[in-house]
Amino acid sequence: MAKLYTPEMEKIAKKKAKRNKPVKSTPAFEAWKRFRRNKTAIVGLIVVGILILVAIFANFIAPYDYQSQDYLAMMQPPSSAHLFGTDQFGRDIFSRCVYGARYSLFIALFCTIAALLSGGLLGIIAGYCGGVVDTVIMRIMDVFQSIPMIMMAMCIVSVLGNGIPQLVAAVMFASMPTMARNNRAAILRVRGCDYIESSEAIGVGQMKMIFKHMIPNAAGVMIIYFVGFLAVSIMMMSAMSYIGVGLAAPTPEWGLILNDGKAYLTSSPYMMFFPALMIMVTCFAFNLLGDGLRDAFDPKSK
Amino acid sequence: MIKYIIKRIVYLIPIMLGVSAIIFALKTFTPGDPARIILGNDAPQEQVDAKREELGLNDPVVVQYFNYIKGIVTKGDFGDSYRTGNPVLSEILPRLKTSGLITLGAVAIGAVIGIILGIVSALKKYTWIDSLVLVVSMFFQSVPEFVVGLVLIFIFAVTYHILPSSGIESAKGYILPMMCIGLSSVASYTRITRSSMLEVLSEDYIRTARAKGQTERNITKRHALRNAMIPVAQSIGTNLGNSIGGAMVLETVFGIPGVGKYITDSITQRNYPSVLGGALIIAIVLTVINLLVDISFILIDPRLKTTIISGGKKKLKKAA
Repeated sequence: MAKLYTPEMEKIAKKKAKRNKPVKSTPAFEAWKRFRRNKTAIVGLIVVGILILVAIFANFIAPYDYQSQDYLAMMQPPSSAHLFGTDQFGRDIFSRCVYGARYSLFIALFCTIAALLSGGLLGIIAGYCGGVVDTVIMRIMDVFQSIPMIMMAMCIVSVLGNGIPQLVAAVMFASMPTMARNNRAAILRVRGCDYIESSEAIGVGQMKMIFKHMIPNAAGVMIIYFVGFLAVSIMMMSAMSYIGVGLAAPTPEWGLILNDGKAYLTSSPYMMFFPALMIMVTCFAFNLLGDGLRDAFDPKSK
Repeated sequence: MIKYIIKRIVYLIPIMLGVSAIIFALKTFTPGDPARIILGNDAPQEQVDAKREELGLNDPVVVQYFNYIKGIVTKGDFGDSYRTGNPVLSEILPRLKTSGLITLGAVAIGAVIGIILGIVSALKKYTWIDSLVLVVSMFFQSVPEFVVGLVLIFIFAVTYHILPSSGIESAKGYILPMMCIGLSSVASYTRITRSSMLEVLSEDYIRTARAKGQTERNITKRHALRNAMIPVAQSIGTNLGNSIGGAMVLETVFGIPGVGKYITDSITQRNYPSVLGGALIIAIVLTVINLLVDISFILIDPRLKTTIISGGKKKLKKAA
């Protein structure tokens, strides 16, 4: 038989008794309750949490510097001294992978924030204003979308050159149209609601309308896309670095570490195994988390 | 109907102009003087100046853009490769076939596996099979294609020597890249098939079929599947773009002489006309294919005609 009283119900009951008034159940709390029930999403959340900690505390976790070369320990298979082995320059692959988490996650975060500030904002404006503004913005986004995402990013990097700011700009422009489309859809869904109409009727100002009423209500859906885009940015970045059009050499980005080990796939496959594993685990975890968030914030969409 | 098709074709023009404007803008940002690059570092300044005049680099930007468009429309001139001096178009066309083949193969593999898995998970909804299918297909979607490619190379080429790790000297060389791109798109087909099947299975005519004593097998095959396939078929168009993007990367991973490899090689060689010309050609091809896919679906499914055309009218009214 199912438990009649779950712990959270008891908690709520206690709170109720304490304050002696009904507890306000916020949408965020409801979403968290739904999210908690989803086991795969919790796994994703834990893995992402660990990765973020690794990224922040990389300098404490990594036993070696990511670019110090040790010519006495080149191409060593995994051992207790070098957990993931060493590469052709004697660099510790474990340390490189740990610092790689810092680079990959933070660059992905910058890319996604940049995409949100450009494409996301355009989408919100298009969705809010409607009419001619909407048509013009979305047609421009259509144009951007006719060039495949990774190709767009590659073109921009080829013109601007290698480097972190260039890569961020490239990923931003490439993901702008999708970001605009998603955010526009999120705003449009809120726009038709009665409470927007009623706030309009009582004369709420435009800025207040957008930031106080529309964005908070559309935030759930926007968060889903945000997390999804983090995964997409990591994928795109590592793919570009791997084929040699992303970041430049000594940076410990996972795609670049893979590229370093490319020539030794037959003789020492561990050089590629661990960075590949990092990319796989990270992307999968972000997608599990994103999926869980979608079910939590947007239960009707399933 | 014809009016709608014409409208769509006319609508292509601004899109193409926009895409070429983006590419042209990037072109003006490219470092270095094109005339200097073509003639080499030792060429005297007078020659470079003459070449600049010949290339029209001294004209105002608007005139340059106009000439650029004119060259593309009248002569198919997407620029000349810095490295070989040949027109980009003639270098890319033979490679387009290779890339196209890989993309088509990938779409076919992805669609077939995805549709089968989608049907299975819809019929066994909320069971462990359903969750397993969703998790596995999501895994392949969330892991970058080139990583899957590396794993497959390690298994099939390095360890067991069944398939070649690079090149397309034999037809076997196509198998691994097609698999990688195909597997990454399985998840989207599975999801669409699953939800569309579930929707169709709850329709009245399915209940009618059951009531008249039709076998479950026939209901799935004849009644549900045929109706459920429409949204799936439509999603092929959107997946095509992703698959082409995937092919760009995987051609480099597998050393296949396609457009993707051409473009990445050109990037490392700082051969800007080839990069930008190639991107523009891909964008044009993709847009035209998408249009053809859209039009063919309206011809296949007359129900779409009413939704699309009335939807378009509504939009027009709103804009006006």
